[in-house]
Amino acid sequence: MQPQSSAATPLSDGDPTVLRAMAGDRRAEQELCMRLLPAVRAFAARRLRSVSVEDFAHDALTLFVEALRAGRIEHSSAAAGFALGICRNLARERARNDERRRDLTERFGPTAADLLAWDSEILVRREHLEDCYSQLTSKARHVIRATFCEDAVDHDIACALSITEANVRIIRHRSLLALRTCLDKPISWTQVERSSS
Amino acid sequence: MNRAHEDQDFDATGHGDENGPLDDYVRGLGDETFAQAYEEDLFSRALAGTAPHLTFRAGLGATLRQMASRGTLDVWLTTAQVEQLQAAGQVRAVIFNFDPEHPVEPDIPPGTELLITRIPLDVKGARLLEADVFSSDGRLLKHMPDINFNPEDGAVYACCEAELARLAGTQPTLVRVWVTDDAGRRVVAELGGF
Repeated sequence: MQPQSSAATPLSDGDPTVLRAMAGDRRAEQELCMRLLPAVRAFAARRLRSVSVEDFAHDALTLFVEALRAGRIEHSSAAAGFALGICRNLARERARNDERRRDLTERFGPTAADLLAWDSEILVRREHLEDCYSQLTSKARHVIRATFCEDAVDHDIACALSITEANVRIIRHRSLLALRTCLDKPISWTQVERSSS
Repeated sequence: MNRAHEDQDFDATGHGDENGPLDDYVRGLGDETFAQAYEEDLFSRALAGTAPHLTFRAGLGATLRQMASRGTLDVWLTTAQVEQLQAAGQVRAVIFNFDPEHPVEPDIPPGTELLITRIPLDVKGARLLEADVFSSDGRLLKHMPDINFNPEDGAVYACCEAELARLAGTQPTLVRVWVTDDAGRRVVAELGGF
């Protein structure tokens, strides 16, 4: 399977992690996979049912590592485009490749423990998120919960709240911004001590 | 349909420019021309480690799902929801009965994951409950709109990760609870030492 060419913005030629990975450094490979994982999941989330996203991400990264080790990524600047190409091809051809993928997974695939470890590095602190989430309106909380925890489509969220799908989108965008802004600051309670000192 | 960039002007911090298009992309909005150009840039930035919005969304989603499965995502619970949480037994929860007349700090035993504070409150006829948290010098630290409640409970329950409760317990704060009913919006309780 040859990934299609990509017009992605190239990395600088000397990206040290990419170069190390291309030279066979396993830790660099893992670093690249960790960086790519959220993008691969986003790609899959756009196209697949939510239950298939993890399988897809696993397969795509497996193929990426295989390509790295086989020397098929010739320039470091092509690595991102190559990964995207893998995703695009995989989205079209995954059914045909089931058997081959199983074999590759055994030989090259990141383990479930790897995925878990990478995820743990990006988790938000629960108590901080609780502090920020509690400051959202009921409607905003519903949209965020339905989007991230229930995999609800916008049509269903809109029906449940008696609003339009366009409103759901705007509420979600604003809530994500509010959460990110809040999570960038200290937990609200901790601002007492700082201001009084 | 390509609405990916319509509402980017709401953000003064710069975050909105990144989160909105990513959300549209993930949710399947925007046409394929938008998607193809977007994902090429996304993958490049992900690999270069320069896509903090992507990491933020992934971390936020994972943590939200984790909290929802623990039953700890909602801060305000009804009696029925508290009973449900206890019955599920997924987290070690302690219930603290707050006495507004004699406020004391809750005892949070080691190993506690969740503190549920029962705050007695007559909210019959209420349409809306809100709470403001103030520092001892009167600054508003936090506004919590749309408190979840059952008018028949005679109380509201604040459900809090134990770590946050310990932190809150060390800070002198005042919680002011607002009710909106047929008579309008007014303060229904002021909880010191909470």
